Parts: sequence; C-alpha cells; structure tokens
Amino acid sequence: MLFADLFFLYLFLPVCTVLYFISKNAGYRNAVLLLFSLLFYAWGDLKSLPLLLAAAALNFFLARRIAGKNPAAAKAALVCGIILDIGLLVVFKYAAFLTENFNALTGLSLSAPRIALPLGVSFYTFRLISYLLDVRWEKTPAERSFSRFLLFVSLFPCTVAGPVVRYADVSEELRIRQITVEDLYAGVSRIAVGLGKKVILADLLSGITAEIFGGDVASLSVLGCWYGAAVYALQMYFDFSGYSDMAIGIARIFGFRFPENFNYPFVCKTIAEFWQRWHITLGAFFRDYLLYVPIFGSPRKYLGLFLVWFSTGLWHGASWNFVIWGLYFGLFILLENLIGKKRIKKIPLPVRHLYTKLVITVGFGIFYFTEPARLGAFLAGLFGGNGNPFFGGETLLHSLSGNLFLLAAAILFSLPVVPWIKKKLEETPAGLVLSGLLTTVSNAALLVVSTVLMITAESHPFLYANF
Amino acid sequence: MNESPAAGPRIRQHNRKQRMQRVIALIGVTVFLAVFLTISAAMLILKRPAFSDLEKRALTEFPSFSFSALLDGSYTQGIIRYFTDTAPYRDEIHDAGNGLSDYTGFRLDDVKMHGISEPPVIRPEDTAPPVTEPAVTEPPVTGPAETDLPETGPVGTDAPETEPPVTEPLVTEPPETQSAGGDKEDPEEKLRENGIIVLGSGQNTRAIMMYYGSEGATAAYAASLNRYKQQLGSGVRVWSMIIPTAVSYYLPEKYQKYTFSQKAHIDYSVPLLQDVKNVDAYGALLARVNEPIITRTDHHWAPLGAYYAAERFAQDAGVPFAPLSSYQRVDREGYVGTMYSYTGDIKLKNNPETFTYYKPSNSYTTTYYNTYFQNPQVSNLFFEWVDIGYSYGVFLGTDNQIAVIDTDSSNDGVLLVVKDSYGNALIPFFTGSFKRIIVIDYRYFDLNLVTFCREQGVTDLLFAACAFSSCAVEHPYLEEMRTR
Repeated sequence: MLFADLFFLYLFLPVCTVLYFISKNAGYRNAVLLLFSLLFYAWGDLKSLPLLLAAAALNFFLARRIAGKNPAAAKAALVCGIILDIGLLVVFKYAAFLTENFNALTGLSLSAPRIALPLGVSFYTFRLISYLLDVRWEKTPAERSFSRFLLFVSLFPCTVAGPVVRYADVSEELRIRQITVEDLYAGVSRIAVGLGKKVILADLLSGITAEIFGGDVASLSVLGCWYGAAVYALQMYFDFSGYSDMAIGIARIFGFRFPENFNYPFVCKTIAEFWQRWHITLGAFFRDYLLYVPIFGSPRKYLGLFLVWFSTGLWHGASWNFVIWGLYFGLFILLENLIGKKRIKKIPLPVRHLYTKLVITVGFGIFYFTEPARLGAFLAGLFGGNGNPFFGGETLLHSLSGNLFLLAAAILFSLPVVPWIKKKLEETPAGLVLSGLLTTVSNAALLVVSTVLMITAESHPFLYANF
Repeated sequence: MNESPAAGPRIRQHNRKQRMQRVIALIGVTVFLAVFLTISAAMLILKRPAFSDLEKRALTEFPSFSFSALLDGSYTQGIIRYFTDTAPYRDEIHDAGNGLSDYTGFRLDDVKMHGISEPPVIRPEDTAPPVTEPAVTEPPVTGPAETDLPETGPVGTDAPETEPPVTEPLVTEPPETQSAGGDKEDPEEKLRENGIIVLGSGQNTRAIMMYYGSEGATAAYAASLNRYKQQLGSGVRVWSMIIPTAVSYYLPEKYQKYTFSQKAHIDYSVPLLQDVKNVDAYGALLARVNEPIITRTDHHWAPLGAYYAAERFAQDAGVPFAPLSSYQRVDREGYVGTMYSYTGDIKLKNNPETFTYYKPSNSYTTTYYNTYFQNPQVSNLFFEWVDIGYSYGVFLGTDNQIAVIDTDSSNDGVLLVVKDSYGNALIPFFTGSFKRIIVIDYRYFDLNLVTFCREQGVTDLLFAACAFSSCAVEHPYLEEMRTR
C-alpha cells in the first residue's frame, strides 16, 4: 500500500483517523495506531510481518539488557543487536549481490539466493540500530513497554520509506500527544503538498525520463544525456520529498512530529551542503553512528568518509552503480574538505551553483542506470564519448516543448520560492489571511487534481520504497 | 517583572495573530476535510463500473480470496488495483486527467510523441520486438443477446431488405473452447512499445503507430503461405494481402526515422511467395491517400480503405465486384477509436471522426460457428448496435468465431479469408464476388485449415492481415492451423 494509492488515501487513512479520534485515551489511540500500522505492513508484505515482529521483539529485549547494570552483558547485547540488524540487511538485501560477486571473484558458481526484499527493511533496521546505540550511549532510556516499542518500529507513516525516525525523536509522543487544530492544518497541508509533488510532478516527470532513457543510451545526444539525468534528479526529489511530506503530515495528524527529511537540496552551493539538505535523516544517521565512531584511529576522517559514502551507496541498492554513486559524492565531499570552506567561499557564487548542479545531475544519472553497460554508455555520452552530436533527435525537442510548463514548475517548486512568498505575506495581518486563503485553496486543488491523476495514470510506486 | 510600555501592544498583537492563525487553521482543516471526505464517500458509495468504454476492456474484478493469494500479496494488491481501476466515473475522470496532462507544455509543429525514445534506431532484424496486430477488443455484445439486440438494432435490420429473416439472435458468448492460440500477448502493451505520434489539428488530427517489423518474420510468413499452396495444390488459389497502416501514408518525412518501412517488408515478401499471389493493398491505398482510407483515431483502417483493397483483389482474382455507389452508406458520427486510450492524448478525444461503412445491396445470409465449426447460428453481418466507440466492431462483431456468408453472387467460387481484425472490414465487399465467403481469425481456429479448405470446397484462400501481424512477429498461428 502506497500513500499515493486511492485505497490508502480514501479508505485506510480516513477509517484509521476516525477510529483514532473517537477517544482521547492515549492507550486506545496507541492501540488504534498499532493495529493500523500492522495492518498497513501486512497489506504490503504479509509474509515479512513475522520478521518485523521478531526484529522488534529481539531489539526490545536486547535494549533492556544494554540498559542493564551488567556492563559485559550490555556490551554483548549491543554487539548481538548490531549483528542481528545488519545481518537482517545482509541476508535479505545483499545475499544475492554478495554471492554473485563472490562467484565473479572466485570463478565458483554458487547459486544466488532469491529472497524477496522485506518491505521497509532498510529503514526499520536503521531505526533499530540507532535505538540500540542511543540506549548504549544513554541518549535515551530503553523502552519498557513492548507495545509502545512495536508502535515505534511499525508506525505506518515511516515504516516503508522513512524518514529514519529515531526513538528519541518520538519517545515522548509515544506516551502522550497533544493535537491542536494547527497540527491538523499543518498535517493536511503537508499531505496535500506531498501528494501533489508525487502525483503531479514526479509521476509526470517519470514519463519524460522513461522516454529519454528508455531507448538505446549509447545513441543519445550529449544534451539528451544531460537532460534525462537532470529530469531524473527532479523526479527523484519530488518523489522522495513528496513521500516524506506525506509521512510527516500523516504523523502530524496523529500528534507525532517527525524530523524533516528535505530542505530544498538544489539550492546547495557545495556537495556537502547538498547532503545536509537531501535525505537528511539518513545522512544524520551515518554521521552520528558511523562517521565519528572511533574505530579507525587517526586516519578515521578519510576512512570514515569512505565508509559512510560506500555505505550510503550500498544502502540504496544491491548494485555496483549505487556504490559508485555513493563514492562519487564522497569523492566530491573529500575534495571540498581538502580545499576548505574558506577557499570555497571565495569561488564566485554562480560557479559554485553550476558546479553543484552538474555534479548532482551526473550523480543521478549514475543512480538511474543499474546495468553497467548502460551506465558506461551514459557516462561516455555526457561528454560526447559515443560520437553522437551535441543536440540531436526530434524526441528531445518535442520533450522539451511538450513539457515546458511542467519543467518550469518543477524547477520553481524545487527552490524555496513558496516559503519565501509565504513568509513575506505573513508579515502583515492582511497578508496572513491571504496566505491562509491561498494555502486552503491550493490544498483542496492539489487533492482534487492529484486524485484525478491517480485515477488516470498507472500506478507509480514511490522510488524509495524499493530501497 | 515590570514590562516595558511597548510590551502590552506587542503581546496583544501576538495574541491577535495567534487567534487569527487558529481561525485560518480551522477553516483550512474544515475545507480540506470537506473535500477529502466527499471524495472518500464518493469512492465508497457511488457505483463502480465493470467495463471501460474508453479503454474498451473489462475492469479489474474484486479478487477472490485464498490463503495463498493472501500470503503472496496478490489478494491485497488486487484489492488496491480494483479500488483504483473501478473508481466511480473513471472514464470521465480519465478524460479530465488527460486534459490536465495536456497542459504540461505545447506541441511543436502540432505533433506530440508518445512513448517514442531517442534515438530512432533501426533495430537489428533479429531483435525486433514480437509485435502482434492489436486485436479488436471485444465490443460489449457478449452478454445475453436480449439485452443487446432489441433496443437499438432489431435482428435483421442491418441486412438489406433481401436478406432472409433471421430466426434467432446471435449469442456471441466467449468461445466454448479456448482456441489454440488464444490471446497470448497484450496488444495494448505492444502498441505502446512501438510508440505513437499524434499530429495535426482539428479534423486533421491523426494518431500514427510506429512500426517495427523484420525480414525474418516476413520470410516466415511467406514460407508458411507457400506451404499452404503446396498442400492445397492447383485447385485452390492462395492470396497474400499484407495490409499497411497509417504509418505508411501519413507520417511526415522528418519522423520516418522512428519507424520501419512497411512497404519494404511487403516488397520483401513478394519474391518469396511461390505460386501465391500478392494483392497490392499498399498500392491500392496509396492512390487514394487523400480519401478517408484509414481511421484517424483508431489503429485500424477505414472501411473505404478496405473497399479499395478488396477491389484490387477482385481485379486480380477476376471476380465480379460491385461499385461503391451500389452500397448503402452509413455514417457514425463522433467516433473516437483506440488510439485515444493508448495515448491518453486529449486532442484525439476532442477531434472525433465519422466512421463510415458500407452495406452491400445484394442478398446474403450470415451464419456463425464456434472455433470447431460447430453450433451454427444465423445472425447479422453488421452489428450495428455497438456503441460508437466500438464502431470498427460493426463487422462480424467479434473475432473469436467462424463466419460463413452465403450470397447470391454469380460467381460460384468459395473464398476463405484468414484474417486478423483488419480483415473484418473487407468482408462486406466480397458479398457480390463469391457465392460463399468463410471468415476465420487465425487466432481463433481449432481445426486443420488445409483439411477444412478441402472439405468446404474452397477455391480461393486469402490471407489478409495488417503488416504488424504479417511482418512483425513470427507467431505460431499459421503453422499451427496447417499442421494440427
């Protein structure tokens, strides 16, 4: 079940919400949320539900041991827990990939296990790992109630595709939640905006990507390669940030305040800044739990950086193109570190913007092509290496003209234009009213237009639900 | 604890702003909930359609429960698909959505390309995708005949006055036995693979499907026809009519690079035919390209195009052929064909065409059989009551049965037409040319065709299918019919 499914939006969500608000009793409300969270998960992947439950139970138990008074037992429990959670990922996400690479290295022909990726496993394992480490580092106490802990693990707004919400982010709200009309307004507004981003922008942009990259990449013109990758970067942004907006909005309705996951990443002036604005909760996870772990000794800065970006890439998928993608960004961040912030700031702003947009565009091209041959053709094509003209083909021309308004809207909404206008408007009482009016109308319009397009278009799953 | 004199107004201003924000939030939530709950209620209360006229297909049914389906997720996913696919007023909403999607930009040269990727590669022959002729989607005449016939077209009214009265309505139920071929591929998927260009404006708007055939498939087709000829001997004339589509005539030069040449493949087939005669439908249509020979909004040709091709065949075969003026012309206004649902291009919807067909004036009787040539039922040649969106289905109704048309023609010959849906439009024009016409769709025939030809005293065997069917896929049907 996806947030952009009619079934979710117009049946699951209203039924859950109505039942939730029937009573103000916190226990009742938690029970409703837990029931619907498990139902949501089972609806998408019933076979993997026992795995989720078992992982939750084991981590709950281990965290209690970690918080116990026996240091040796605590350490052992932490090690067990980390191995268990990473083991889950290795077995269910990377087993086939590892076997194939082992075979390639050794010349053996071990059969690669065909295990279906459990729904949301990449996200909930990271949340479990962060929980164990936070308990170990005494950033948060171990949860005493298993039902509350299970609610944290399975909470449907963030189980499938993030954000990577940590236990500490919601530990208080798991017990008591205050929901004001402002919360509801903020929640429904985020839902409408997220739905619009996904259904109106990302899904329509996906049609362009499919047409541009759907053929023989080796014959694409230079501009065609750049155009396809740039459109894909926008598509990814609206797809994933749209999902995050909906997750944050739905959670807000139920009284949870999830951390932000995106902050207009395309306004960045360095690649490091881009990653402070893109998938913020994942970046924060790696920063807090991997980069500064003192396991590398003095050269930890560079080894840590390598490990973080290798892991970031691999986390996105069991394919080398994702690893290359992660290391590619890591390389530019390393270069920026070596150059230094002060010297980077001296570079003219337009140059910094151009540099980041070009790097990001190429990066998303790498992300798109999972087949090495097509990836190679794409990379060569970017710089005319395939012997094709700079500009060529009617499809590119027609794609640009036929999607001109869509592309303009996508670029506009990828920049913080709306918050800027909103802020300016709300400086005066009249502007506040106007802003409220515009928001209300646009929310309703986004909902209606998105619904029409959801019925019209074929289903487009959220891209990050695949990771 | 003393506040500055300015603090009071500031606090009041802050409180006023907070109150205002609360009111705005309340209004915002109320409006959103009103819209949201209205849509939710509509989704639950309003009647869900079972058939899409727009897409010409039965919509997703609510999945039947089983534990295995529950476990593998197909049951829950099926419910989600059902919920979306059968949304109330889904066809009208599709039109609205297609209209909205048209505002993403503007059309360069009045052209919009759907599903066409750069570059326009000429694919190697052996990698051409297995494209099948898109079957005419069954028009909704498969229900009980009583509900279909009486209201808009009493049985027999389609036939000329001289046609014998029909005793019972045709019940065009799905075939009792699945034909050997069946619908093995989703034609719509294949269509989209090819890509479609919509060009022109107003009444010149036209959708053109790109064509990817192969010499290999063409050679296989020709070889198959040769084997029929060898087996049937000199007593039966075997004919090949490869029917071109819109791409052969209406695609501007600058877009030619996105398609293979149908003419090249048709020409390629001719020298490969051994004692099998080629009917130059391509040439017959080329001479009439300024007339409405091919539909603008559908993937089929128009009956007028079929007339000219049939005329060419009659000339080649030396059989009588009635002039067009002798036919009764019937116009169906407001026709929007399959290309609209394939592309979602609102321009096609906004520029419907007139579907014109022609009813012969001579006397004839049409009898339908199942795919084993059993269970004869006399009925109409023209299914004139079909909805406007199914206008091409006016001929013979469905593909999945054998039709036999007995006529008062002066020619005693028996013509057997092996066809895809393109061939349907030819049939009415042969009623004056042969005493008996037998029509089979190669996808729905469960007997040995050679034996069948001999049993039926066939004098002329005509293979009439579009280039997509004949030259683009080495499908097994022709050989299966010959060897089973």
